Amino acid sequence: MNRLHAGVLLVLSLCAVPVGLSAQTPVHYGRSLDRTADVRVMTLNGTVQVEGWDRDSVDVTGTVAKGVTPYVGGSRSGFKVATYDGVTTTDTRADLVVRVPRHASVWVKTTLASVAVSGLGSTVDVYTMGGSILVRGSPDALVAESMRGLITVEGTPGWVRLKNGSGVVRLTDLRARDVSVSTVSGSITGTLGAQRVRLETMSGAITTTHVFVPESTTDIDTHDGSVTVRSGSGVGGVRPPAGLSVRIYSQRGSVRNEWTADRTAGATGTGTELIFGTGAARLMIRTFSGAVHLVPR
Amino acid sequence: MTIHHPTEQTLHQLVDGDLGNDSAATEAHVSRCPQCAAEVRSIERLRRTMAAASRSIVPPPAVWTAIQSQIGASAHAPPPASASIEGAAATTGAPRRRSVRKSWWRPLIAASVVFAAGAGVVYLGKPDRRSSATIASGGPAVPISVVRDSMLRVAALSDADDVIVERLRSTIARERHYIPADIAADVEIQLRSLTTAMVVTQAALASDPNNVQLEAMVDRTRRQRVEYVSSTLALLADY
Repeated sequence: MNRLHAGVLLVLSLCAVPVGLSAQTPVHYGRSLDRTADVRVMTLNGTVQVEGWDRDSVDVTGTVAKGVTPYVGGSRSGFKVATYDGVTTTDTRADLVVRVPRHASVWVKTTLASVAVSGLGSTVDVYTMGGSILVRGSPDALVAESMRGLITVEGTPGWVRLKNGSGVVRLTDLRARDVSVSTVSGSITGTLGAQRVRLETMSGAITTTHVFVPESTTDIDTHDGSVTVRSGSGVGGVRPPAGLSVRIYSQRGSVRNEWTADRTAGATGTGTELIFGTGAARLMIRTFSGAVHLVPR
Repeated sequence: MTIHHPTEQTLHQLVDGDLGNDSAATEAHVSRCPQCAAEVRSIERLRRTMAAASRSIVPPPAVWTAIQSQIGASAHAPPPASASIEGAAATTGAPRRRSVRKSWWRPLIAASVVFAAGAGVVYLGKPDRRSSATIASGGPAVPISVVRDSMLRVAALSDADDVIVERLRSTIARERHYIPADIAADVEIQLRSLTTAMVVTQAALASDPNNVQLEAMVDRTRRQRVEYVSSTLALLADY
């Protein structure tokens, strides 16, 4: 009986392979587009890859689930592609590669599809419930929000706003003018340098290496998430404590400073406060019960 | 669920009367769609709550008795046991959430009273006083109007927060066939985490009302809770 069942399963599995492959339908669309056009992409699950290129056109290639007829339309100033057919189900997969003019404004929204964006110079907005987000390059403005997916940003965007619920936010050698990252329980990690930095989380751990730009402000807030800040080396970076004013407040957590010989002092209320440095760049860390650790380069 | 429902933003615009010529189609949809009609009612409730928050309301006398007893209790009682509150909030389920909400009102009201006491000292120093009625608790007399305004302000903010949290929960319940179950569960976990943080920081502020760092933490946790709910609602909105 076992041999018979195994044989039947083998035959069925071999039959299932071509059926699975045929469940995806290839798609290809293209049209001319203004260099600064608005592009919208909406999918459920699968993958979306958006790439900027030096042509005045949009090109969409990939596959969609069999039976799904994507909506594709627009004009020279705006283009939209949506891969569902009227009923929102999460088992409708699409894998798309969308090439757009480098200075197009791109807006992507997915349910579970992961999104990768690269080579864009204008504005990028990515929203997903559970997919991951990867943005590389130098968009002028970047907004990325996920409820639980990994968000990774690398490059030199101008203005960055990242939000996550339980997912991790990873900043990979990020250089920007203004960076704001907010999570609930997701951790924030990576290397960054910016004129203005705000990192906040409820219970996620913040573990970052900072290149402190002269006269920059860095604000880090957690409720009970730990904060580990390493002073990074980088061009134009300020080396703590010279050029840096540091203020740390922890209501119930520990504070460990390895940047200087300063120890906690000037306690207010029942919390612990550490203040040192007189530089123009400012670092403020505030936590309710998270542990704070300043790690040298 | 079909995708032909108006977006949440469109429904807000409908309630606000900002749709212009497009309102007829949306109104027609709402009139025959129970889900969108419920959403419109929810938006209208939110508007009413927000409008009521700015009104001057004279609370019943029993409120002042409760405040005075609260002042007396806070003057003699030990600091709030935030750990037990935190534990309660962390383990609470949806049916028990109301008890958590009630429990964090107490330190909140206590904090607002103490804050009002501080504000009252400054207020009393000004020559043009609006009211001569005061509450005394062994310290400087506090004008009733200051206490009332402070309490109402805190209450209104909290009510408004709870309204949108309930909107998020009702949205998830309504769209449960569309939202993956693990994501819905994750949202509930995040909400509890945010609520717990708010409860704990508010309790700490109530026991140390002059601590500006704690005050900033209370503001931040409340803001982050509201922002999380708003962002999640936007992510869950129809395409």
